[in-house]
Amino acid sequence: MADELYFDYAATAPVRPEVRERMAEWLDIYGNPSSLHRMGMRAERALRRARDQVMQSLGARDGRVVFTGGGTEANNLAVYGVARAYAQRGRHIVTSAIEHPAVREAMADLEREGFEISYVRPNRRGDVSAEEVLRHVRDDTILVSVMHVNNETGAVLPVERIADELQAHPKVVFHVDGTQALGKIPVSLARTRIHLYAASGHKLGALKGVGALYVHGSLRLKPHVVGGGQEFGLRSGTENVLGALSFGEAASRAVREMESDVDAEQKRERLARALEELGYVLVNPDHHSPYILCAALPGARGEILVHAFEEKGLYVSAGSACSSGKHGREPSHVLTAMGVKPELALAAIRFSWHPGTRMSEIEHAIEVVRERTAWVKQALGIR
Amino acid sequence: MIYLDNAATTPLLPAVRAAMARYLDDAFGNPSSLHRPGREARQAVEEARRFFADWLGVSPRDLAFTSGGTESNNLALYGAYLAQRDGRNHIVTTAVEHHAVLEAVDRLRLLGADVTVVPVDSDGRVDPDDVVRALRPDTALVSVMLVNNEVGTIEPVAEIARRVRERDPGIVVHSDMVQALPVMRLSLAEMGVHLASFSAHKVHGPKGVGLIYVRSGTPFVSLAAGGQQEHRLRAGTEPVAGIVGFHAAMAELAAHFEDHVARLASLRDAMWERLRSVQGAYRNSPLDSAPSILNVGFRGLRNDRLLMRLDLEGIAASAGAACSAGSLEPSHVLRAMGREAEARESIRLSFAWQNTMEEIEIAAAIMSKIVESMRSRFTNS
Ligand SMILES: Cc1ncc(COP(=O)(O)O)c(C=O)c1O
Ligand SMILES: Cc1ncc(COP(=O)(O)O)c(C=O)c1O
Repeated sequence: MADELYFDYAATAPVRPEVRERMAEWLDIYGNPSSLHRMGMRAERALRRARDQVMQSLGARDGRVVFTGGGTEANNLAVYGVARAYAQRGRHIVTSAIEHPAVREAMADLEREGFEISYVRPNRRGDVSAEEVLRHVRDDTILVSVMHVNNETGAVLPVERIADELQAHPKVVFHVDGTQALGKIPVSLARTRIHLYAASGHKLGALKGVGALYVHGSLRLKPHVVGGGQEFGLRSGTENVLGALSFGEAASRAVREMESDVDAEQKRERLARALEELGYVLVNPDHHSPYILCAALPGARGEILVHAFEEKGLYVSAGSACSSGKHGREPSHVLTAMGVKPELALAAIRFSWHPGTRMSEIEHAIEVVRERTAWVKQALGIR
Repeated sequence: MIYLDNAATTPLLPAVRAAMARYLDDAFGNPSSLHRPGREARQAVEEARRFFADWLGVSPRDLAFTSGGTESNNLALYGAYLAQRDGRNHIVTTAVEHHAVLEAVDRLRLLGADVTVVPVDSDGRVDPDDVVRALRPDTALVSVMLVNNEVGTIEPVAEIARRVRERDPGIVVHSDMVQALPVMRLSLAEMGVHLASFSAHKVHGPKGVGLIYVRSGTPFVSLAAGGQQEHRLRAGTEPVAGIVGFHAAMAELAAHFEDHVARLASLRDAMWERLRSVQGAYRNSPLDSAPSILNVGFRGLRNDRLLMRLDLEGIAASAGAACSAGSLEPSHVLRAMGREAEARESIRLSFAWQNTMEEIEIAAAIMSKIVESMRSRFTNS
């Protein structure tokens, strides 16, 4: 990957070298954590360490980490788990209009089952306000579920504010999809009233196919996948030990790396200015992750730029990975909710990187973008 | 350590580590991404899918990778039941299924399903007549495992599927084939099932990866909500390295399959040959069971003590399913077989690729010695 510029960290991150180095050692821990013999206990101990590492990375006390089969499943467990456990209390849920399909599809499913879902819209810049979220909370609301960082625009949602305000509604469970936040912005669960927090290993440099859901205190939840009763009864199935160990290690490393990335905002600013100069329209939420930048070149569909950049080894994406199907794209539901017109939404591309990305790589990417954009403009006759 | 708990999980094959390495390195992409790292990951996932489609005799379109055998069973049961529940509310399963099936069925009960649990005989075998007798006009789903994970009994799934189909082709048939994959050459089309579940870590692949077969046209809604991965059968970013490891493991087994199975049978037979002469020894696994599993007991000796002693002597075995509670519940399988007393005495020895005849001889000798010493202490005190 030496001469490649990977700017698609929001889709997935390369496996961290520290994780790769320990892989051989971890693969030797082959026991089933539920087995009572030595091989099983060794796996169980390793799993416990990984759980502690994730707890620490989340700045969490007073709760537990449940490993799942990915970020999608962690969110499914939270949303369905609350809906199934508290349906008697009420059937109303508040969420945002810009959630990832892992939450959005679960909500749509619950809606078909008769739950009432309020979707809070972002403003034109992509920000969602705490007041708007709170305004929708009612007596029969059982769950508020919003993401911490939006995967397409990088918008940071005011989850601490929402958590504070929700103290007036002690029975409402608050779930946060933190998949794009952990390791990118500070997360400190011990200081907030967040009950559930979902994360995914592969966004941090761990393996794909392992996720985690933080569950506060003794919050009651109905499991989504049932069976042998592993993971405190909240997620059955033989534990993905290797995945969990990679998650623990990657999460600790990612958080530390983020804390030492002091000029993160300058790097984003540098890229943003350069794109503007080239005629791109930026999606620029007031509150944003310093590692995601969404931009559109009016008149050029996203895929064209993606391919043009790739020819020079720069990898970005057109929207989120899971909406970029083979058979043409729908305009992003996130941008549409912000009031962006379909033509412009289809032109959107996403740059996403991580705390380890150096300013020199940003400069390098800008050079590629400059050269390729000129080429695309000429080919398409854009002025 | 002599590891004889391969039905709980198996060590990785060396070829698996090598195969996975590339997908932890520059082919790390998200299979849904359109660029080079994404395309390479996609290609690996599709190659694995084609391999399993070939091996199982089905179309690649009908296979989806999951996070394990438990998730596959959950997806299968929930998916087939929910897709039909307007017209059909009845489920038939057996008393000896894995907890992943039993618990999933319990959850469907809460959603309004009516469940018939078919008994087994003293070998742990289901009688197809019993299954057919249990069918009703509103039966949605029949779920019968192929190889039992505690005693190794092979269930007559093909015959059950055929007779269910003759009675009512609208009934969906699922089979948990997690323990069959390492020891049986499977042709799902011939078996006649609509849904089947598999797990990588039972065939020397990594934990946290599974496979589900959903025959085209089968009523199915996915329990996993989210992106459009895996033909919409299972949402979520695919465990790419795990899938590659699963593929590599099964390919290695498949390349030597008949020899591998014959070797397991000879290990199992050698073990029983040595243990049968130990005082009070009996065998719960039928003679025609899968070669990977030998369930035995020693009259009057508790299995928890025996297992502890074995562990101290460096032999890993178990009392049945690895159970998360960390305690030894008497096995529901042995009890269903009418072996109530045996359920507190029996242990499962399970064999795989890496085991050697020498290990079997050592383990058998140690076990005989332990049993004798436990007996003498028992009579002395
Ligand atoms: C915000 C958000 N939530 C959830 C997910 C799903 O996680 P996973 O890919 O591990 O299933 C993703 C990534 O795809 C995401 O960006
Ligand atoms: C028969 C059977 N079904 C299902 C499973 C569950 O598979 P997994 O451990 O991959 O969740 C197992 C093993 O634990 C099993 O033996």
